[in-house]
Formats: sequence, structure tokens, C-alpha cells
Amino acid sequence: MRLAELKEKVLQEWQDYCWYKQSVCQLEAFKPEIKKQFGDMRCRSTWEKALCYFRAMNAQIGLLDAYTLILYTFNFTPDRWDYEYRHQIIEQFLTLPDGLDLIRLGLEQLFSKDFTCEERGQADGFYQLVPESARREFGSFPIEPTRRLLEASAVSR
Amino acid sequence: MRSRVDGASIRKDFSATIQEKGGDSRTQAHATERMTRELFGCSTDELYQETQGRRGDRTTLPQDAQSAYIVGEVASTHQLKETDIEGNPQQKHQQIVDTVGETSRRVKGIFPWNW
Repeated sequence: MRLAELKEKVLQEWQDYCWYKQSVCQLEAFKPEIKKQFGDMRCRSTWEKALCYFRAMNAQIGLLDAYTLILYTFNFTPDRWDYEYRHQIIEQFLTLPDGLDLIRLGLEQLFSKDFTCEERGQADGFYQLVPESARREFGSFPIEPTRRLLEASAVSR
Repeated sequence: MRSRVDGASIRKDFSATIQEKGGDSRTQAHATERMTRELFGCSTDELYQETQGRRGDRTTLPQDAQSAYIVGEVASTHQLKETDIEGNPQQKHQQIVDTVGETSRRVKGIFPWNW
């Protein structure tokens, strides 16, 4: 994703965040907030951090049914614009206080009698995250949330 | 083939209709939030907090609230199917969310907390 496109996506996620929080969304506050919260705006990594933060927050706020995290929000498929950031987004989500519990709850709902095998199979983009994350080496991403995600999946499946 | 209709199947119809009309995961989330605000006059998070429910688990909401969602989802599904949703992905997103919001506003008057 080009940097200009990345910035546009961050802006949209920030606007969505304001909408969910029912707070006034003033465009002139956008860049100062990014700088204050995420650092040097000349760095691509700053915008990537901001994107993943707001994606994770927007996934949590207003969540009526946890299974929608699995079937829709985190069902990353290669045709989605956020596919390249899927690991960072899910790992950011798992740092939220009830992030792991919501994933576990979502899996429990999806694997209940309310859903058929075929419907569960539609969340393949989420299931793919688990082995991919497990293969990831120690380094740029924290390993602890990944291990916890594996455990949550094992319990629920 | 006909089968028993319940809350889960109604929600699935609603979600499937949003997808058929060109909505994505963001549309699903925004449409749900709009429905909550119209039906209950608060956000989904506030609804869970004020009723001591567990976020992400609608079975922990009061039964009247669960019933209201079913009504909102049935009405919105019918209205979405009857509405032409056109344009680019962002335009489709907005039309779907607005259709769900307007439909929910029309039905909210049947619930006693809105009298």
C-alpha cells in the first residue's frame, strides 16, 4: 500500500473511531493526535501503528455479537485492503483488556449449534492467522498474544 | 426447505442481505451500531454497560432488548432487499447503513421505552 493510501485509511479509521465514540470529529485535530499518540509522522511505521490501533479499537467498540469478529472483521482474505496488516491488527486487538476473551467468546458462538459446519468454514481467513502467526519468528511482534490466540482456538475448536 | 426461525437465523439473514447488497465487515458493524442507537437511544457499548450484559454476547441482554434487535433485523432485511443500493463501495456502505438506520427509526415506536 502506498503511503498516501495508508494515510487515507488511517483517516477513515480515525473518523470511524470518533463516530463510535460519539465525539466531535474535527479534521484539524487528526494530525496532531497522530503525532501525539504515535510519533513521527514522516515515518511509515507511525501510520502503520495508527492504522492497526484504530482497526483494533473499532473492532471492539460497538460489538454486539463476538462471532462477527471471526466471520467478518478478522476474516482476512487476500482481496481485502487490510490483508497485509492482518497480523499487526489481530495482535493489537489481543493487547486490549478483553481482546482475548472476545475472540474466545466469538469462537464459542461460532462453534455452537447456531452455526453449521459450512458457515464455520467461511471464516478460513481467521483460522489461517493462527498457523501463520505461530510460524512467525520472535522479533518485531510480541509472541505472547500469538500463543494466547493459539490456546483460545484450541479450547474452542 | 422450511425450518424453524429463531434469533440466530434472523441475524444471519440480515448479515447475508448486507453482503448481497455490497456491504463489507465495516458495513456490518456500522449498521449494527446505527440500529442500536435508533432502537435504544444509546450506543451498543452503553446498552451492554447499563444492562450489566457481557459485551459481544447478546444473550446476556434483557429479553426485551433481544426481541427489539430481532424486530430491527427483520424490518431492515426486508427494506434492504427492496432498496436499490448503487455506486462505489463507500456509497454502498453509506446507503446500507442509512437504510438500516431509517428502518430502525420507523419501528422503534412499538417499544415501550420509546413511548
